[in-house]
Amino acid sequence: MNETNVNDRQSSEILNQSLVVKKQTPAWKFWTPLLFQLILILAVPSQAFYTQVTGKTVILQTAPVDPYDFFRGYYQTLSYDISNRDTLKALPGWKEISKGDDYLPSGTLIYVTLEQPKDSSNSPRPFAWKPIKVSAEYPQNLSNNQIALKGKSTGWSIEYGLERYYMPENQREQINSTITEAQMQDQQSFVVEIKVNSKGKAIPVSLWVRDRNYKF
Amino acid sequence: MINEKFRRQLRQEAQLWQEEQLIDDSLYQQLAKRYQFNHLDTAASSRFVMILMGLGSILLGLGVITFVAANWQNWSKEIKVILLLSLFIAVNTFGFYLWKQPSDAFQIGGRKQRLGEGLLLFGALILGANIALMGQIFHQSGSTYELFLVWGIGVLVMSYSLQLTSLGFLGLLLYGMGYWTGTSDLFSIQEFSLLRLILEHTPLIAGIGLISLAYRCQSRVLFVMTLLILIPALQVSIIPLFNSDLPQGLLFAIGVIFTPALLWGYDDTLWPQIDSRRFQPASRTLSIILLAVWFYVSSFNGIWKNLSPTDSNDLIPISNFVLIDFVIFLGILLLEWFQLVKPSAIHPNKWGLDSITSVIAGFLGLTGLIYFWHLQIYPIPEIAIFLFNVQMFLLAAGLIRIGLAQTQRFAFWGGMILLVSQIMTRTFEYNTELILKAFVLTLCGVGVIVAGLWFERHLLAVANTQNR
Repeated sequence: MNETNVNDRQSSEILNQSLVVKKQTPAWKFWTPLLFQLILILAVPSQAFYTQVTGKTVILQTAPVDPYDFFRGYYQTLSYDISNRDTLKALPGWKEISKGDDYLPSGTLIYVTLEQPKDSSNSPRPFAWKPIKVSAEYPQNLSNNQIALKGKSTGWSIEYGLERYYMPENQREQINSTITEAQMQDQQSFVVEIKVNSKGKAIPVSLWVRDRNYKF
Repeated sequence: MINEKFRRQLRQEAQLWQEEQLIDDSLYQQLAKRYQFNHLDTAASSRFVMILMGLGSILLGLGVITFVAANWQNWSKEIKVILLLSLFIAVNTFGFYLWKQPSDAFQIGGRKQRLGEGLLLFGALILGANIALMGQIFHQSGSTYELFLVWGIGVLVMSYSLQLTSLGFLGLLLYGMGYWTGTSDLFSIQEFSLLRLILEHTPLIAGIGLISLAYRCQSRVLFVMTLLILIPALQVSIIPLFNSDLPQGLLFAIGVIFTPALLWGYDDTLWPQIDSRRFQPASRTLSIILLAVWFYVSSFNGIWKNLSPTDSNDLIPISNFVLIDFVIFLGILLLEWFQLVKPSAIHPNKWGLDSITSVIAGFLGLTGLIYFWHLQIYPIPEIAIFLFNVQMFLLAAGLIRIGLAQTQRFAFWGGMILLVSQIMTRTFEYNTELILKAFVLTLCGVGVIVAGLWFERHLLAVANTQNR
């Protein structure tokens, strides 16, 4: 009897004590990984920010888009004149990169040198820069009115990291119809303004449709 | 665990007993103290408060989300970024400090902890949303695998630091998804990036970083998940060897037996500061499953008809640096098997393997030899099919035997499934007559039912004798 009482007391003490879980995790064990996660989040826009600040403004000519396929989904896909292999094939330097083939294996890096058009001053909208040559390395001797843009082959076309646009939903329809209209009348009037940094990486800045400008 | 319902009922009964003079006041007080009767009412009321608060915060959250959705397009990038980051930090911080509080299971504290853990998990999800939305706000076109890898690594670091299994589970899931969607990228030339380095050396990351996470969280689930990432990653790391001049038969043999041998030889005590073999059974089970799958696949007629050394000189476009991982794990494999062969503490003078390990070693050796012989010396499709069927049968029979001897349900049923699928597959593969098919099906069905019933009864009998 006495023994059970002792047992009872013990177990009741255990019951009261063991249920209190003492967990002392120091706060740095939380803040250090949180800081790391924050760095991961901020690493995404850091490149874009760097390019935004240091980059040089360039205008790219878009390629014709299928109006029924355009601006439909969550994001929109654009392609450019220089996304097309046929455009690049005609340029000097292509033969060295492709080794005589008209196909670039997926993942091949390519630098496209673009030159500013001469009569770009007195016009409401900017004119697209002209591709003048391609190379496998970043070109050394660029003059002031030239810039090199880095692209990557997907096998079928060349991507520059400028293909995706997240368009405000309420403007989507309106921009879409403006573009379709502009493309039917004058293909040259739909261009994209980008910023290119000194390594050839680029970010999109705005869309020009005729003389209207849509900021991103 | 004593639940609240029981305590309520006990209080009711105890009050009744007290009134009926079955127990005296002091005994009632003891019971009341032990089961904390006086906390019951406060618990109920504070739970009501919790429910109200929960409901309120859900509505609040919905309000905030709707407000954000309504204005999202009009805000500038800076506001969006600040909003996203402050939500991320707030949820995580709130979660951490709730989770950190010492808890008392009879009070609301336990719930606070769970709420805190839930918030930390929610914070981990917000991390992914933040990374994706940052990409969207700044019009970056990254690939899916990059998102998953970065997200997974972020979650895993937090899980490692806080020793939280739930976060580890989420992190491994994300990392695994990243690895799977990114594997195809390994087979094309890409420019150098940190993420690609991580993708290439996933075997090392999984083998060292993620397994130590499983130990830190003391979680077998995390261990098995890590192995599920490690196994395919190791298979990929063998591929560059096929670009070399080494004989193809040898490479095929290595490709087939490398991972099962590595998993079978896994020994927790090879790690510093770990002396219990906590995860070895899980690793060995996976090794046997892998072997069974290989046996099953190799026992088909069609496989051997088409398996011949390829003559093409096309190189597989994969980086040779992946081989570093293979070489390191080859070293680990040799070390593991040296430990297995080496005299143990029980038999200090005896070199050699224990009986089950020698059987597995025999399986592995024979499997490797068959592939090597077939591809390198002389094609032996008939003998290979025969030998693989024999091995599969032996494995199934061995599993059933172990299941019986050690009353392990998993081994017994695993062996049964393997055996039955072998018989069925062979019957259907060799286009036998309908009547024989019917016979085999019936026999298998009856066999499984009888053996299963007998085994479960056997388990029960063993349990009874042990209880007595």
